[in-house]
Amino acid sequence: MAAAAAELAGLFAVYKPAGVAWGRVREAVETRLLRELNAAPGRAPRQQVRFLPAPGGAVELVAARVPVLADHPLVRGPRFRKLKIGAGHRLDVKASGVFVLGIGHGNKLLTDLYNCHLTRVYTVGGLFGKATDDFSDTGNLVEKTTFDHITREKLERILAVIQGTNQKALLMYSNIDMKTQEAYELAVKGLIRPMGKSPPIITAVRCLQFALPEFQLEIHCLHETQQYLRKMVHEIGLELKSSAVCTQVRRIRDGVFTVDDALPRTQWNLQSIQEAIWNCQLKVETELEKTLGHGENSLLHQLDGDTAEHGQS
Amino acid sequence: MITAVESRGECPFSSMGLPSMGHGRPAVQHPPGEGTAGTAPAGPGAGHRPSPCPAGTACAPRLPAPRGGAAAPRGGRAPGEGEGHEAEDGEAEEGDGVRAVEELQRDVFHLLLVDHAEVQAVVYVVLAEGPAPHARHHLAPSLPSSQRSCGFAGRRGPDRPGADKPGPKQPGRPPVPCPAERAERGSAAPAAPRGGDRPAAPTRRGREQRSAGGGEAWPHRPFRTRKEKDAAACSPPPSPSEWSRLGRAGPRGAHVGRAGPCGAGEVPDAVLRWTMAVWARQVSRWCCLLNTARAVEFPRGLRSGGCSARACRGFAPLAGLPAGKEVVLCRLQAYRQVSVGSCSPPDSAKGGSLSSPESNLPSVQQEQTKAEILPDLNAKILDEDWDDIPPSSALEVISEEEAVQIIAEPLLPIQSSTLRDYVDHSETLAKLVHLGVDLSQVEKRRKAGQLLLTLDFEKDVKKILLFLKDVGIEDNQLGPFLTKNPYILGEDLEALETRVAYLKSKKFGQSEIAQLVSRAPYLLLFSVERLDNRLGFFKNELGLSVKKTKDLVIRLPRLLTGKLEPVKENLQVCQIELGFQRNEIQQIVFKTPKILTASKKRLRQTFDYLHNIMGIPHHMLTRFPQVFNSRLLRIRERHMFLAFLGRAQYNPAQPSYISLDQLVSLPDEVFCTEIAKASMQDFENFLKTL
Repeated sequence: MAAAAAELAGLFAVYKPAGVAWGRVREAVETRLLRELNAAPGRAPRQQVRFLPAPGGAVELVAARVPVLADHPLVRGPRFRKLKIGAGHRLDVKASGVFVLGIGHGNKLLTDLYNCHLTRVYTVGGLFGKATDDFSDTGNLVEKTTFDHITREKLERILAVIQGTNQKALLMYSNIDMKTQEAYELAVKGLIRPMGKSPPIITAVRCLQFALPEFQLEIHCLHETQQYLRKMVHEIGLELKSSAVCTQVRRIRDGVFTVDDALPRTQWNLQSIQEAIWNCQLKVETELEKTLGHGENSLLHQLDGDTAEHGQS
Repeated sequence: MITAVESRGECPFSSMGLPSMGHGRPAVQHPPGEGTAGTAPAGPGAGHRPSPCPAGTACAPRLPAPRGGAAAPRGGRAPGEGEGHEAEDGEAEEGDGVRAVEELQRDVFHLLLVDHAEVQAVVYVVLAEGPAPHARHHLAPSLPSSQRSCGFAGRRGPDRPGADKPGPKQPGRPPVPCPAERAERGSAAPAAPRGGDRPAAPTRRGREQRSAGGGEAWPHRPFRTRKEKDAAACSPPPSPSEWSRLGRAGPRGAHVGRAGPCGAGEVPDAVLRWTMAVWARQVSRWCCLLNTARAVEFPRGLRSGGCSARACRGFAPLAGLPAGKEVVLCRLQAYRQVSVGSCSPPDSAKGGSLSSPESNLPSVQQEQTKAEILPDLNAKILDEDWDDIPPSSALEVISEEEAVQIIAEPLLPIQSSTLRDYVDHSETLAKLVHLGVDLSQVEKRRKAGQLLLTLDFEKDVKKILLFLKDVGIEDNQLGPFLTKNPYILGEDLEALETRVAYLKSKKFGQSEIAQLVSRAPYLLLFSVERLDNRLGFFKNELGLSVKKTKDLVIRLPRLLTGKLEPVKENLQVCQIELGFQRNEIQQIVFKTPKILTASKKRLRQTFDYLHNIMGIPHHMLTRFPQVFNSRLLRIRERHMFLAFLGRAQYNPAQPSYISLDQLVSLPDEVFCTEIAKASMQDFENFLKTL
């Protein structure tokens, strides 16, 4: 019903599988939702009064209430033909992970979320020993190297260097005067970050697994692209005097949406999406309010009001 | 009349070098095509030769003798006036004219002829009046005076009040009450420059012959400029005097007369001819429209406004009408009920969406009302003066039957991008909806909606539906079938039956043919040669036996209706890139014909994953070709899950073997529990780690 389509508004996250373009994911979700919305019975056709010739050849007209055929579902077509589904931070074809989508009015929140400039967390898998032209393991081989000399310690040293340089960039692009009290308070809370455009910045890197020749990193970053992360893996290999390719880029957190909130492919249906929207609503509004300081009619205010009343009574 | 013509001897126009068609032919009836044959001067006339009036062809045989003789002499006259009209009136005497009138009164069809004849007569008059000497002859001379008189007399009663009104430039000639005289005058006019003397008929005829013989007529003048054309159209006969006296010959005469005062300029003959041709065409079209116009069923008195408005709207797109068309329409509306059944449906004439819904809508009702209305009006109309139709009054008393048949609904849109606007008013569309045809899909196809609107359920659609049922399509399948292929409703039944007979001759069983047709809805639109070629193609390419090819085609009838190039390319891919042997390819194709229509990129990717990453050899893939039909994503996820669990064992020789078809074809829950021996939740969690 139209009510169902109107109720479906908000933000939710799906888990994008690797090997599929993000547009296809968005269309698949839209198609499944439309199928379910159109399957629900629609309005009954309007009735009209027509004066038909009486049966039996009598010369008179009989008033009859007949349904208007123009409202018949076969004539009208499906009730819902499109849904407004917007995409948050995109993932390229080889990457997988948390992919935020907005429906209906939730698309406006997408813009707000973008303006919050929240960090994203990736799990990046790498392989030492070869280098390719597009930095991933499916590209054309450029060179092969040895990697026996690499140890975890060396890797972590390199990661620390990366993190250090990126920290400086972070402070520079955040446009905050470091000598103020506000800057100190923000830094204590960890809220210093660029609130405008900036090149990709890595706020934190750590090594999750290390088993030659494979290794896995966890990267917290801002304004990045997945290809940038693959390039970073390649450069790590170069820094370690070897070479590396990136085997996997997987986003495990996008702002306030985590892998637990993301819906796998088997759960891309109306009910699961509605639940996901409901579950994430509070988180999103909290974050938005914290960062952008707006949202008078948000749930948070309602909750505050309730608790205040509760406290007073 | 034959006698009349022959007595005259050689056709008066022979000297003019007119084409021999129409000359000296004994015109008993109006042999079809003669009138148009008479559209003589091949040069300029050729361009304007309009299509013969469909009504005219039907009317022609009915026309009594008085008109017969006309054919010959008329050569070259009004091109485009179908045969009935040209005042073929041979040398009919006045008496003949009166007889013709009586006969006409008995025959409905003649009404149409009458119309045409009037136009013709008008034409003559117009041309006769023309000051330009050259302009005058070209239609006029061919028409013996008596013809015209016949035409006039037949058409209207003796009294024509309008006729007596003198025109502005009347040179003071006394009005002519008698039709014969009028006709004479009219006939005299073309011959005489500036309507000079009015001698007796023979003299006039002589004059005509003289003038005709003089060779001045029929100058093969090319078309002048559009300005002249328009001028000609707007300004009919240069001297309206004769005009008014002759009475505006019928409604068309009226217009012409009316258009007259615009300015009697020179009227180039070719332009006039074109004008007349256009008018005649219009007349024929209007007559056709009369049959199917919705208003036919309305009582004569009541239908004035809306229908004429619609008619006007409908006629608006018809270009080339001279000024005064509105008048014509108003006149015509009165005669709308003269439904001459012989006219072909207006669809061909108009071809717009206007006519289609209109023609389709009340088609059922028209038939039943036509019969009762015709006899009533027939006599009425003939008795009346066409200039004198009283406006219909709302207080007019009508019978119950007529009252019941009035339908006062808002007008349908002329154009619409959806069938929703017409479905409530069209019997065909309503019945199709009840059958289950999805009109919202059909209207997206090219020209399919238009086709459905032009079809009539009883006449066209029913035959095809019964045919489809005979072929073996179930009732509940008819709707989806027609949704996918609405064009079959416009097909010729014989052709369809030929194709089914061809399939039967190829030893396809009845149920198999039903399956073929229902799963490939476009199959029956293919000609027999095409079907033959395609069957031969598959047989040759795949190298299968005839029986196996037939089985293959029955399994996937889409092969016969799809393109053949991609099939060839897929076979090449399988052989060269994927490395299958020919017999392996045959086996694969026989088991999963869909591989022939799969996309090559997907085929390569799937094979690459199966063979290189999962490590499945060729012979296993030949045994389970259905893996090629499934999505690569699905195969990958399931394989990685099994690999994660350590159960990815595809070698039948070893224990805990998992067959490929189970891998791909089972639904998720069954796969998880049976094959992977894990829960759905584990599978989903695993999916999120990929």
